[in-house]
Amino acid sequence: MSEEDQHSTQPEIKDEDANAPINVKVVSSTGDEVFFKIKRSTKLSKLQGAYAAKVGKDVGSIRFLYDGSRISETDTPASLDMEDNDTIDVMVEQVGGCH
Amino acid sequence: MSPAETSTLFTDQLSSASNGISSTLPNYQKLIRLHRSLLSLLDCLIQLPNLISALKELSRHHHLSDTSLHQVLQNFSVIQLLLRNESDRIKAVIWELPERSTEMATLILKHLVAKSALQKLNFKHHLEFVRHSDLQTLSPKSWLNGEIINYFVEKWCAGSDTLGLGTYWANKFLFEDKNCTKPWSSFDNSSKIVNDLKRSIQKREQRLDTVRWSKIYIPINNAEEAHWYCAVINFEEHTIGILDSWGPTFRTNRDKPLRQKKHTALLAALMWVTERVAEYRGETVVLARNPHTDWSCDPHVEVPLQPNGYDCGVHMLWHLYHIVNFGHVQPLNSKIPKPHQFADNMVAKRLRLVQEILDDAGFRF
Repeated sequence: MSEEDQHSTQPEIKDEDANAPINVKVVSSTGDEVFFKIKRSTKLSKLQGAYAAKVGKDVGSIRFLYDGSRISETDTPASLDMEDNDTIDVMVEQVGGCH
Repeated sequence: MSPAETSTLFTDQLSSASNGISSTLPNYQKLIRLHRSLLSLLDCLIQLPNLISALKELSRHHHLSDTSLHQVLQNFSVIQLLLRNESDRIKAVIWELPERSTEMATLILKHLVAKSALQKLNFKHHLEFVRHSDLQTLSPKSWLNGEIINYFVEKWCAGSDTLGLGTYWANKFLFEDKNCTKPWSSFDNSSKIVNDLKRSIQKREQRLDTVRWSKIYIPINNAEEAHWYCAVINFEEHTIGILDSWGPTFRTNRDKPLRQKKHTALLAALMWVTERVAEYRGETVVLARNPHTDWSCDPHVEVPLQPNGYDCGVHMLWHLYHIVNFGHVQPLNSKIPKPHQFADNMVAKRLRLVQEILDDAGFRF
């Protein structure tokens, strides 16, 4: 993190740079947080794969959400208008019938 | 006998239950096939009105009199109308057939789910996330999952004036916890969440065919109780309502004062959301600490109840079905045809939902 801080103080690296990496926080349904740094043009499916591998889960068994909507295979931070330090929520399958 | 009479006889024979349950499945399959071929015929005729008006324009321009081509096209028009009426009639029969007995509907539904597992289908028609394992949650007495809910919310809302939200929306914007048990109780109008909320509405709006929508439909999944219920905000009629088909909650709630009712805290969160969405729409709505508002907010709207432990997901989807088709959820004693009505066992509706997804996915008997 300290490295990035130094970077951000340098005036030549501006937020306007379409490909500047942003920090993304992935929060599990139990509240555990994992941080990623990702380019705005990189597909979020890569991040999803990396997260699943990190927590030891099958990527098909968890759902990634931004603003309460599922993230599609082709979505990138740019296509979703994500900002630095935004949060991606991880959820499990929802079922209901009422016992 | 005229063609219409022949086909009436044909359909009536297919839909007749007198042959007993053993012939139900083949008859259902025949009706589905018949309906599908009618639809593909109608597809071929889809350009007909354009063709006719183009020809008329041409004749007028060149001062031509009617040719035999005119006559042929007019005849096609008559055929098109006939086919359309017939297709509607057969669809009504297909919907009515499984309503006659739960055994019949269960039999057909089980067959469909099993048979469709053997075909290579493309479920991505309305949502990229649906798989056959999701379809299985529509089996008799199974609990519906979020993928199925999202598929129909997306599909049914697209051409309507209702903005349907995804099943995870409530988890972020209405509840503090991810299980949807504790509604937000403090609201900060200057926080990032207000921006996120408005952006989420804007994104959803882009998926509608119309720019002007008047209602919001919010599906909610309480993960602790494994229960589906929903909330509806109506900006035209100025109402907010929570629709919950679970009988015990409704009965214990009925006589309690407002502050002690289940969902009253959720209603407060919904009121806050309504104010923010109104801002997004360019309207002013003040609900907090405003006894003079003309909005009416009901934490437990009277809806048909599920007398079982498995149909809450279907009920919640059927609330949307009624809202999109009739504006409001119709009571049990209403005069609408049976295929639209709620039932004690929603298996016939499950069958319709499965058939609808399978039709979209290219399933063939």
